[in-house]
Amino acid sequence: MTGPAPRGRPHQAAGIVGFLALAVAISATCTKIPTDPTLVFSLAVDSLPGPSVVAGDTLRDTNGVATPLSGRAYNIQNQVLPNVHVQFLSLSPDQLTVSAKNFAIGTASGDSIVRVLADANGLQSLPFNVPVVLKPNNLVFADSDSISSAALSLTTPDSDVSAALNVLLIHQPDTVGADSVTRSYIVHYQITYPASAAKGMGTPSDSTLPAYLIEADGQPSRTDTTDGNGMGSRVVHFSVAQFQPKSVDSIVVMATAVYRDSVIAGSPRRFVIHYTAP
Amino acid sequence: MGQILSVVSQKGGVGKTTTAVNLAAAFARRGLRTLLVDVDPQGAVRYGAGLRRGHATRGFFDYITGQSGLREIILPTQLPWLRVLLVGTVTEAANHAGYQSLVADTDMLRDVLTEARSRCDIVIVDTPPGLGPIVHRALEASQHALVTLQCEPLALQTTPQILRAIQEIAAINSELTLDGILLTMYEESNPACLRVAEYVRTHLPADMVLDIVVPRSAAAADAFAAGQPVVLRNPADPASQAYVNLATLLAERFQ
Repeated sequence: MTGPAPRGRPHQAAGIVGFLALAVAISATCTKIPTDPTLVFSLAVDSLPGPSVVAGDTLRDTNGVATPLSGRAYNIQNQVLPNVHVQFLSLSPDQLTVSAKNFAIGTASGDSIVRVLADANGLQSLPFNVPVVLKPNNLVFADSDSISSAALSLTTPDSDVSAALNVLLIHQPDTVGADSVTRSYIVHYQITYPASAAKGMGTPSDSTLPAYLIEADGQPSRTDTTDGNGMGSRVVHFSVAQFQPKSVDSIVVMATAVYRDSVIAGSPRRFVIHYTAP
Repeated sequence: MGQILSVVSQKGGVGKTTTAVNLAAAFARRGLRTLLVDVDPQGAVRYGAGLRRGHATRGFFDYITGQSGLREIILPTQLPWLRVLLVGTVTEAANHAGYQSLVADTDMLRDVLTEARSRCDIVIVDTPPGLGPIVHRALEASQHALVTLQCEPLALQTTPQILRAIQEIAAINSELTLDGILLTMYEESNPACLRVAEYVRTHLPADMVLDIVVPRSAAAADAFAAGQPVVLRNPADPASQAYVNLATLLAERFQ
């Protein structure tokens, strides 16, 4: 025979069990939302294939291939609805139009950031920006002293990076008018000498490469997108030990911009960085 | 590169997790790659984010203690572009001091958020209430902060503290912007609530308090109980519409 249970506890326990049962029941009945699986429940919009559209041209990927905007519609079950067309819409059609097949086309007068959204059977995406930029005509050095050695004496552990290798992407109007710049446009950088540095980007922990290209925050990167002033920039990171025992050497970096299949005039810009051992 | 938005408040129970969950769902439903990160050891995100049945319970805590890899703790949801990183098994512990120390003394939160930022359009961080080390760390890694403020008198007394903290962290993290104070659980029929809203709008700079308010809504509470964001479960509900409007506003600001 067991003794009486402490007062209150069975009641309390029953209450807790009841509460838990109720919570489970609510959860079980409500987790599935009864929604038609043929209806659009959510959208996925893919990243832009390139950073901008050139005025008078179609949006192109980083290889210069005309590429449409793309996205997908999903149902409540997280399945793609293959028969639902996702149509993109420009909110500034005087600057950018979008064709029925979602090719984004910059108008001839385009030079602004245009908001675009996607629509699938009435569900609209949040708007995103598509820059329409002036056609790039010329790649030039941004600084008169672009070929620098003073900053590369490598006399302290902190001086294992070069000065910034800055270029400007220039737009020259077809008619009379002042030059301006092309922003949001890709500039490629490549180390061409020493050959051992040309093979890859390297990583911050890769001490086997004598040099590699980095962006402002130190991450390896060989590609930049011009800023609002039309400037592209990368920096060379050195592994000092890889240059020993040479006391004098040089590193050559090429900066190139391409429009469609052709390099832009002035490309490649050649930076020669002179290395002097500490 | 995406943006990191931390949802913060001095006081608990003011709609922070509900806001984080619904903003994340509103962003993801409309095409943005979104990660919702829960760093609050209370771990409430798991109850309302629409996670699939039988999901893993490990999360950020288990990652920073070396028990899990990132890949296995980024959880799918019913939205293809919404992923969730739960706070993990620390929710089961009685004492969260060890977790707090780990977050405070290491750069792991910053590293995780920075990595997430490189892969997502938006990273939303649900933080614990108050101004502890976890909130500091989250704000140090964020570009944006959103303060939730429940429309009740006590909330007013705590607002200056959180604003001061954001100001202090902005001195260290120059990228950090206060996107605004979001009034939550707003009830037009409640005079006390109206007085609080009016007081806040009168005494704080006009652009600091968002015009969008989130009404108190039975649908929102029901949705959370059902494990779903209200913006998905009941899109026509006024609270849902407030969150969608807020997501639209923020998405435009973030570009």
